[in-house]
Amino acid sequence: MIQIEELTKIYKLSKRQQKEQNIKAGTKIAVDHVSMQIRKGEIYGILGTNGAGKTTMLRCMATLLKPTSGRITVEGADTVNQGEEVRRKIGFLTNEIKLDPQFRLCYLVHFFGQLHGMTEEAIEKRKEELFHRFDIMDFQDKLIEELSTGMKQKAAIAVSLIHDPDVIIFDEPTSGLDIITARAVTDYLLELKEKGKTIVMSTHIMSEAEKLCDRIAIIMDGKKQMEGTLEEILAHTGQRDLEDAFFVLYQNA
Amino acid sequence: MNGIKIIFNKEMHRVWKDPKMILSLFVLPVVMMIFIYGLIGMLGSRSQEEAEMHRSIVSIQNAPDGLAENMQEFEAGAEITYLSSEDSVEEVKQGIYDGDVDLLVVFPEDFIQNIRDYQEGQQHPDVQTFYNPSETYSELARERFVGSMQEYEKRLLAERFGSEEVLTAFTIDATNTESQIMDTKKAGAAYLSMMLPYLITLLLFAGTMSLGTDTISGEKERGTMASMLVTPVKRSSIVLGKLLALTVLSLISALVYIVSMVVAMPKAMAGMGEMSLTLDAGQIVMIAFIMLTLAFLYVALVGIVAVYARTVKEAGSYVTPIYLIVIVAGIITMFSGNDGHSVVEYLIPIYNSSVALGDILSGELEVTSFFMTIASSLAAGGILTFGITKAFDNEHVMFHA
Repeated sequence: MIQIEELTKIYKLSKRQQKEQNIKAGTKIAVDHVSMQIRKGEIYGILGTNGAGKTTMLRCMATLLKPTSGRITVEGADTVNQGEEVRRKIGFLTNEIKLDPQFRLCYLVHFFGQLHGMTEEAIEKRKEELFHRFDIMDFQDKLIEELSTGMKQKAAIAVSLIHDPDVIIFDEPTSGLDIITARAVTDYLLELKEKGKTIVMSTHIMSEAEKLCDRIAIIMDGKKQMEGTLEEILAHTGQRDLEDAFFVLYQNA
Repeated sequence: MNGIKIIFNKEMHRVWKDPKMILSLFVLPVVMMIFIYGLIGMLGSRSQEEAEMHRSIVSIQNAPDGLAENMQEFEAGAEITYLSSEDSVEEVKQGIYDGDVDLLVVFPEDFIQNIRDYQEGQQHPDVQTFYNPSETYSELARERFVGSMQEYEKRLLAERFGSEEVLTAFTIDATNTESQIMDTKKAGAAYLSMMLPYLITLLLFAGTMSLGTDTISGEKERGTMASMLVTPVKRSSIVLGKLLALTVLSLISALVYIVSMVVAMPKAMAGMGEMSLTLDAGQIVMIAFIMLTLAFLYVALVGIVAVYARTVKEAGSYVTPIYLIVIVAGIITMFSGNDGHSVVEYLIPIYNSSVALGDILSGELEVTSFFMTIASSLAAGGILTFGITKAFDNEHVMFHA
């Protein structure tokens, strides 16, 4: 379970960033007093436009960023004071985190397994399982730079889940993938849910959220506009699909 | 501790499993050193041979009688044109200016008579030479001519005084065969002990520079650092693992450079005398410690710059001024002389290592100075490592957040 209480994240902007983002103020509120509870065994989707604050929220959950105010706990561990404990429980994947292109996939899986304190035997067993599941066994001796985009994403997922974490935090896991690879990823997320894993993912693909997520939060300008099941959101907005519901909320925001 | 080992192994794996890295870090330096020093040696020898083979083009005006017999050795290596007092020397001077003629010698008319008629207090007959100091052959021709004239002058004086013996009041070391009192080991190593501290400090930094910026800034830029930061390993373990691996790799890289340089340098310095350096076990251990701690300091220095830089390119531009400081520190040591160093000098990081290396090679380093140097480098490296660890915890530095 992930508990988020009044999460606020304010970035201090350098003069260069102010110029680049055309912002006069020296700060930018990326996440504004957001609270949510992600239950054990559910897939929780965070929807929002680019720059809405989705990635910042996920990074705070993964301990890469510290909240300006508010608190996040993952399976009871505080992300600020018990960072190592949190990182032991989570598997985190984002487009901004890459696998080192100079290494072979097999080596990186072992490397990250070791960093998670796994034995060589456990790493090998888990590697077999993941590589078979993603059909990347034949690519294990290839350098990451030699893999296609889809293969890289599959490899990144395998690496992030090598320690079989209970909580999975994925930032736009199907972004930029072809339909076959995207399907393989979404199917696997459903499998993980069946196994009782807690999954939180961000996406801006509405159909993906409709299909996968038990509950959805819609984030706009760092604020949570709405949270609920697909049915609850559609009923609240009076729309027939999530995309239309999103637009209604966007216009009313 | 386990985290440090895992990160250390990964950094080593990155280098040792990459043929391009091995080639650029450990093979090319050897090839380049041998090639460069071999080329310098070959060109030097060729130039020396050419100088020896070259027949000087010389014009002599008003050559006195008997001159040729008194400079047979000079004449053998020269093509001499004898000019009379009526001949113009302007064309010859232009030839010297253009590099076509090496030397013009103008004797006064009645040179021999003037010498014979010399009275005390009179102006001595003056032999004038014209040469071009910017031309090697011209300078060499004058040098050889002046040498041959000294013998000629002695003979003319002997004629005046009746005997050569009376011209000698005393000799220096004519019978003394033990004039040179020195430690032959120290003298033989003098050149190397002047050059090596500079080269060691410089090459250590060169190895650290490329590896350090890529390992830290490169990983940040590529987004691969974040993948390690979401694992349960302590940030300090990541930092120490990386810095230790970089220290070892920089040391190996510097050693490869230094060994290949020491091997190749005599090829370039052929003719400069014996260039050997014999070190005892104690000296080797001390050098190893100084190099190790200096490598650690360099790695931490490059690391702190690399961690704050956004890209490898940016890190490279920040590291370059530090490289210049290292060069200056090395050069100062080269010319600081052997008058001993003050205590403070052994406390200045980087500079102290260069000074201490020089002292070790010349067998003059005191134990206190050695430990002060080591402690100073470790303290400076430790402070910087602490700074890097803090930076790894800083989201603004790591993720520009």
